[in-house]
Amino acid sequence: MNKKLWFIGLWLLLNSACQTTNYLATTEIDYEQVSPDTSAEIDEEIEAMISPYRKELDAVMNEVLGELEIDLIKERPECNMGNWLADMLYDEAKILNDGVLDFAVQNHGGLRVPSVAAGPITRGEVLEVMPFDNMVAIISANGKDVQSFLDHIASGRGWPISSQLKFKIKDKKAIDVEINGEPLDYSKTYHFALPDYIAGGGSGTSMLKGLTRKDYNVLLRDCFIQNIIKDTKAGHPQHPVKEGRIINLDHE
Amino acid sequence: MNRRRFIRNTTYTAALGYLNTLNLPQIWDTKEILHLTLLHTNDVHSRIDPFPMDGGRNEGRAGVARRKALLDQIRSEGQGTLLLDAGDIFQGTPYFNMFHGELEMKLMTELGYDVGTIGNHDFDAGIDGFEKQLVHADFPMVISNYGLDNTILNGKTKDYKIWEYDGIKIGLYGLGIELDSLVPKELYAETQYNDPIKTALRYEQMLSQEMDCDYVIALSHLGYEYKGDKVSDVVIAKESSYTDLIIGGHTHTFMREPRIEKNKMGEPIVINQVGFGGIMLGRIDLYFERGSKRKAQKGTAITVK
Repeated sequence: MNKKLWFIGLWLLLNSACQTTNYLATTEIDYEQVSPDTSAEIDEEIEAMISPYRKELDAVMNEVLGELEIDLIKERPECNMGNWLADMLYDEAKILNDGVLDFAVQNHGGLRVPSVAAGPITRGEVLEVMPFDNMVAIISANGKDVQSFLDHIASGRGWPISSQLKFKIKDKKAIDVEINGEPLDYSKTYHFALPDYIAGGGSGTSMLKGLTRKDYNVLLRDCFIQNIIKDTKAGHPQHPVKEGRIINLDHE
Repeated sequence: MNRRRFIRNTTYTAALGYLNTLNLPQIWDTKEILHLTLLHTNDVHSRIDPFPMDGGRNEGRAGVARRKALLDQIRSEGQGTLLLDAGDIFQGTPYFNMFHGELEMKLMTELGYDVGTIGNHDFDAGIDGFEKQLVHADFPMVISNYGLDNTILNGKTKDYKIWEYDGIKIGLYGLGIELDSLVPKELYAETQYNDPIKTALRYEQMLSQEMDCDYVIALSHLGYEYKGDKVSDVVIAKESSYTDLIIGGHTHTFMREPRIEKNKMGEPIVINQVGFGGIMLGRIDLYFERGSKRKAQKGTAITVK
């Protein structure tokens, strides 16, 4: 067994809490962080406990859904992982909402892995990217409310958005906002898809509370899985790229 | 490693020179020392198997079967041990999505966890989903600042816990993070969040002063430290008077060494957290000297080897 890393000794000589008893005039503490390395011994009984669960899991999770041609990276203000997910959400939510949808948004924090390597993409990998059981929500709001939401996204240095939406970040605000090639119109009503968690005010989106909202009982994750399978059937591999959807003009 | 030699070799800062008079190695050599090892994890996030071999930074690391072997080895040293988890047991691998936390709880029981507290992600299958898995947990969940009376968890968690080892009493309370805007309301239901600072002060007072605990631990999922005045382990440490140690979580902080803060009374309080995923196991060894007539002194010295 390899043990490594830090060895820190630290002594604490305490009194106050201890004077009521005869004990503990002195406490010594010494400290160690232990990291089993990859060759460390494993406990066979625990392995045996995990094994049936793992078999059942693998049977489902190792299913290859499609082919990923490039590495997916999570970053700000824009990333190919985010573009990929937001576009798939847009496609599937538009179908759910009878063809009525202007754009889709996914919160940056909802992407739970920093990267996915190119190659066959499995159900398990999609699940690790998006483990939360978030459902599809659609909000209908005027351009002014959309602006407030995008300002919030700008103050968070950019979240994943679908290809229909484009803006720049300046002084932590969204400027030059375009939706489907048209400038944002404060008096127009827009419909956008997003995780129900965000629609409900999660991640600081209190400006969305009280807006007209429709909820679909469909997991975001299932949207992605379905969308990848459709592409694969049509002979399309996954190849998401960055394309300047959000440009951050602020100096970080 | 050889702990005795380690202690003998250790030096401490000159500013705390009065410690020298205590002659620590001699204390160690007497039989009047009770040795207790605290072992802790946080934010394991359903990391049952090691991280996958995908070229990532943590590939091949962690894993419950390895942690068990390591625990067995530490326990075989013969001292008392307490194994603690600071929350976010659930969520992060497909094991949780498929089995909803059942395996996590069963394995923690098998590993001999003595106590856990509730993290925000432990509500991810809803408070009902969490309650359903408690049947597999043969250890108490301690949470002191959540009001759970109007929830399905009513009566199924503990406000505090005390262990006795040969006359030494260890007290522990649990602190949970504010759930509003972090967890959807429908998941945490009627869980009421109470001020962690007030809660900490009340429980440390009770454990230390009224129930005569010799050592008081806060098991916290508040997070290590934030910009601004959001409550965190560091804030609790500075406000406290009788807590000796805060075992934290939530911020996935890998600490090179425990942080020593000064509490309200100017005395040292230790904060520690070990990243996430079970990549690390925290180990803190406590030595209590029995029946000493020595006048109490206080101070801290740290040596990094």
